[in-house]
Amino acid sequence: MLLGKLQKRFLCTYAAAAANQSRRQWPTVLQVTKTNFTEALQQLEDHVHSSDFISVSLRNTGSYSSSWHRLLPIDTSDTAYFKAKYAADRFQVLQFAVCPISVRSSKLISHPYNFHLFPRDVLNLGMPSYTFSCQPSYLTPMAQEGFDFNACIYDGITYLSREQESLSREKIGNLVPSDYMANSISTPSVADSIFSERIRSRVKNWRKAFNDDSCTKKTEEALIKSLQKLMLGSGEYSSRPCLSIDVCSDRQVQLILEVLGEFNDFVPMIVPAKGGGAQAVRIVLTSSEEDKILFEKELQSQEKEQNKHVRGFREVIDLISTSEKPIIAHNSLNDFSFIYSKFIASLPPTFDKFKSSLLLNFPYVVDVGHLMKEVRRHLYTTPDMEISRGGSDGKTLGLGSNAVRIGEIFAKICSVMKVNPESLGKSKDGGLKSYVNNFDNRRTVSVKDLVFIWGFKKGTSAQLLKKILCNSSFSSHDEEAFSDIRLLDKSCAVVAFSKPGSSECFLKAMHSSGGLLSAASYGTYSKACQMGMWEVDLADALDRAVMLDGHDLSGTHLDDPSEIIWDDDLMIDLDDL
Amino acid sequence: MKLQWLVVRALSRTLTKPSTVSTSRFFSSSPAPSPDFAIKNVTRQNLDPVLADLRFLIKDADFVSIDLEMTGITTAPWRDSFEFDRSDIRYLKIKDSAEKFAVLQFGVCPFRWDSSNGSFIAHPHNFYIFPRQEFPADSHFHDEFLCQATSIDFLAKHHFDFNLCIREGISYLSRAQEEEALRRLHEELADPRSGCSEFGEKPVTRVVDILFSEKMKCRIQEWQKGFSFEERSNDLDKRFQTVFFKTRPALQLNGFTRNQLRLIQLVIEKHFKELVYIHTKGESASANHYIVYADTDIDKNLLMKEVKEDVHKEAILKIKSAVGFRRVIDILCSEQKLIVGHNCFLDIAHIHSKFFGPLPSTALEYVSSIHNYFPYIIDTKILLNANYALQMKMKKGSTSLSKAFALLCTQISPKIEELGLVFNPHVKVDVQVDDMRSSSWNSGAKHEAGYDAFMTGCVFAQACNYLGFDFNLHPPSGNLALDEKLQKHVNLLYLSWINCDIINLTTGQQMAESSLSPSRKFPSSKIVFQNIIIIWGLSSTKLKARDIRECIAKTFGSTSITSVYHLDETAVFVQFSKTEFVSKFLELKERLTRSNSPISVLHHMTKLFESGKVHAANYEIYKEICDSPLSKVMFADQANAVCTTPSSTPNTSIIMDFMAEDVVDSPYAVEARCSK
Repeated sequence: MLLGKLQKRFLCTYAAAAANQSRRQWPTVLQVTKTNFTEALQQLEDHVHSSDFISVSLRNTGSYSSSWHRLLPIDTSDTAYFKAKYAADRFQVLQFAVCPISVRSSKLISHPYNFHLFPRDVLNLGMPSYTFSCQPSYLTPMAQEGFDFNACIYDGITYLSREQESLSREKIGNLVPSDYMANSISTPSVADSIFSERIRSRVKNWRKAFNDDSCTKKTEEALIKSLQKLMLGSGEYSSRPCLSIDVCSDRQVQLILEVLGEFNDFVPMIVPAKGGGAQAVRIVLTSSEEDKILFEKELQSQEKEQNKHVRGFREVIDLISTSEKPIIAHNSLNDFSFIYSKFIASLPPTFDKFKSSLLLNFPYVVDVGHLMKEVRRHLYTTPDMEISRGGSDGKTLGLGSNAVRIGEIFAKICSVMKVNPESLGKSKDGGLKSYVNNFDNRRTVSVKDLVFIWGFKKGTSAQLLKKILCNSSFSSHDEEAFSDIRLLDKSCAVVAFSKPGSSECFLKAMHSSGGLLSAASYGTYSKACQMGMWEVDLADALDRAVMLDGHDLSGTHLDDPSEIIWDDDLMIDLDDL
Repeated sequence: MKLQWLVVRALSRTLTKPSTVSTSRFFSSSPAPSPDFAIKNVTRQNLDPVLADLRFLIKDADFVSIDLEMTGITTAPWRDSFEFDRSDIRYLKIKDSAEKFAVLQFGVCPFRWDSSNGSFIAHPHNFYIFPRQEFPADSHFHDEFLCQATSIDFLAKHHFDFNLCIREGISYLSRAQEEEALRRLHEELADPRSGCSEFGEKPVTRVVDILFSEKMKCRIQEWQKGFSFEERSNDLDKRFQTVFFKTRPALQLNGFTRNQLRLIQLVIEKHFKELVYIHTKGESASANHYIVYADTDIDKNLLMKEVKEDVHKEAILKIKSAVGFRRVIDILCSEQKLIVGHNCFLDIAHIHSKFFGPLPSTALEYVSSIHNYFPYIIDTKILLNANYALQMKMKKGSTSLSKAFALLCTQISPKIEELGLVFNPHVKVDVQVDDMRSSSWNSGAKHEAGYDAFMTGCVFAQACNYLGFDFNLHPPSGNLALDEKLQKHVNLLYLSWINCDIINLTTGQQMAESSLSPSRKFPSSKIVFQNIIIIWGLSSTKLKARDIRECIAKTFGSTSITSVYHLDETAVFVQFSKTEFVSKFLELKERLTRSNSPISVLHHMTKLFESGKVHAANYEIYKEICDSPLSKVMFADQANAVCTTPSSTPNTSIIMDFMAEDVVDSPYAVEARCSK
């Protein structure tokens, strides 16, 4: 919704210019499900490589489940991250729109894709997500817009995060071509050498038998084969003879591999047991040196296919990540919390760790939302013009068109700021430098000057609260003590003090008065977010945090006393609560 | 393909022609044009007409079978039911499931004996329901539900229509939620500020605002003059529309921003004694704003009262309509009919939490609450396992619903097999949907709640036959549940199918199934819960049950361990042969992990704890962990979260009591729990 507004404001001039050239056509969004994923991925690869930047947009199963859980004007980067993390941990991504965009002679060329996702547990390991949350109040408007849930659930592409992929390797029973383990066994015991000797003779016999067999008569072959299979565990693997030897420890695997090192026409593969470890070693007999190389190549490509299958949609993320192109998002903190938690790894406990780890994967992220705020002044100077888009408005653009819009807004901003989008990736010191990877808020008010109060009757207005506080004994000696008071939800309000130190006095006064109202410093709020006390009412969450921590009178609880934005634009409209 | 098309066709029919439904039940013997008509699908589009009909069908029914499709079963793998789960834990696990997951489909199928035809008539209904929030402004009803990926995938494989469910599913309010909504409404009405809108007293300072206010003042004055001279002012401004509000002349305000409306209200309050600013929330979410003329104070008060009453009435209507699907449940309750389900403990728990109120904390309270609402419930799974003749018929195999249906209801079931073996005459079941009736109906959609409910009812009818009912000779009269042949099966539900734990809804007693059906195999060894410890944080792949057993046996003796059982890859239950080993183990664990003495390095058990993240606790802690609203996928994560979160300030006194009673020494268990 907000996006729509932004777009309206931003696209006008841009589109008007474009409309002069030709009637602007929206590119059709390629809808991708598991049936056309492979082809789409190949196409996308080309488009990504030739693009100047890539815009992304996500559709999830929910956003925030209580009014105070969303980003509030009082949130610092840390508390904002905790909120984003809370959402990303629970909700699911249903659609992931990717739009590689290139600018050629001031013309935008965009190739929008809309990937449908569903966390299908193909490996039967409870991954990528065992359960996920849905928010009916979020899904209902999506359904009214015509969102196709069936397409996602029936044909959505599954995925594993990088972390999950390595976890799954430990667990699933794929054949793993063994790398000869370099470290040989230090001191072989008697049992070890007996075992090795037994394996050596068994393998020798088998190979001999096979070689004899192949040159003699081929009658009774079927019978012999089945007997062999039964008695010796021999069979065929990709039309080559093979032998399986059961093992009961990693040590035995190592011993077998050592023995096999003495032969040069064997390729050993390890059959992993469910729950880790090895269950058997499968030895494949190749007919020649060339055949051996051929077979090893076969195995490699097989593994590649398998990996592709396991990673699923994450291939797209890896592609974007390795391309190192600028990524444009509208709500980067939220979107990238989702991207990180679904496709990279579990979200780290702090914002700083998240940011540094994210930057390793996505070195160049631009948030059009933040950018917007910064360049708003420029845009007020541009005249508002209606845009004609061949009679189609936002709703009929089809699913996944948000990424296109974000991309176009960004292109517009670039043109306003006289930044050449083509040079974005190459030189990072363009005009946008200060906006890149900016997940933080602009800072204006120190959180030390904020006090949370609750315990009043639900539905009390901020004005009434202000009156109560003005008449209280505390403020009698300082009329202008607090600059503002705002409701955060129906249960809790925040008071901003204008003089440093007065928040502490206020807190002290509140605690000694013992009235019905409770008060706490920003540290308590921060604690509630950090500890995941996501009660429906903020008042309840703060009560819990106070119980945990005791009253924190000093207000200096924070290690790094941050400042937050105190912006009238972000004033909470109680109608939205 | 053809089948899908049929379903779609029939669905569109039920959606588009809801009004023709109501007469159908009177033509009970109309011939069936085709046995393949679709099931009765119910969405919010046709709820009202269907309900009018269903009310009578239920009233006339001899029993009603039900079935639910949910968005999931277990919120974490370890929340599945284990042999080592005591019955109170089993209840906690079911409670967790019913609280977290949503119901998407609800099958209701009333069965009535038709003497003239010598058959039951079944009326399968398939309700799509969705927990849509009808009070968007109200954050009180925490709207969020979990989906288990595999369950959703399962529904998709059976062609569940998620789009239809989310778009057209019927919403609902539980009784508790309805009461709460009404209570808040009354509270709001008692509040003197309600009715008129409150914009607050923020002073008007901005120049734009002052200008706007002045302009509005003139505009309203003009209007006031205008209507006192002539009825209609020829107003061209679309933003002002002269209308009548409660028989008083009024000016409707359109297309103003919130701030502008606030300014207009301030102007009215300040300068116009005889005008009242009123805003109403219409049927659609958009609000209407009026300036109403009321010349005297008496009239003004009257007006305000009228407006308030309107608001009240509308709010009550809104709550009543938000009750939605619960009206079906209310009919089932008020008719006190025999309810038939298949392995339905979880289903009933869902019904309680969604339509009555929050689930009580203990099984006993829950059971008495349910018994209050549904005095007669029969579980066909219990029935099938309790009767020897039925057991034989089922060939002692699985008692899953589809299998039971295939074996017992051969003439209804599409799989016609072994006709020669059918000795017992079958109970005939005809299906009626609207005016179509068939004796060999097969909608084909298994795992659709409506069809599953139908199958459950059919299985029950056949089972009655085996229990000695002859409906042809003695048509069911009065309450079927009171018949002595069913008496010993009524109100028994499986609390746990694996453990064969049965709970009696009438008495609240729990019993082992062995007392009822001697033929089933039961877990051989008895589980002594106070002999159990739970160990978590084991490094996932290295230690197998065998290793753990070995490890502990070296210290406590080879007979010390009765069994070792993996909860998941991060945790195990260890059952000792004697209770005292529990405390000894915990004590030893504490000592070994605390000190780095040579003894601990050499000790056999050190191997168990080498990862440094290993914790151990007694069985009561396991209960606490299950009781937590959290659901981490891995048990170790869950246990660590529960044991460190201050929210679940664990009831230590209970644990200490337990310790004092059963274990001779030391509070090490408590320490172990809290160690980080």
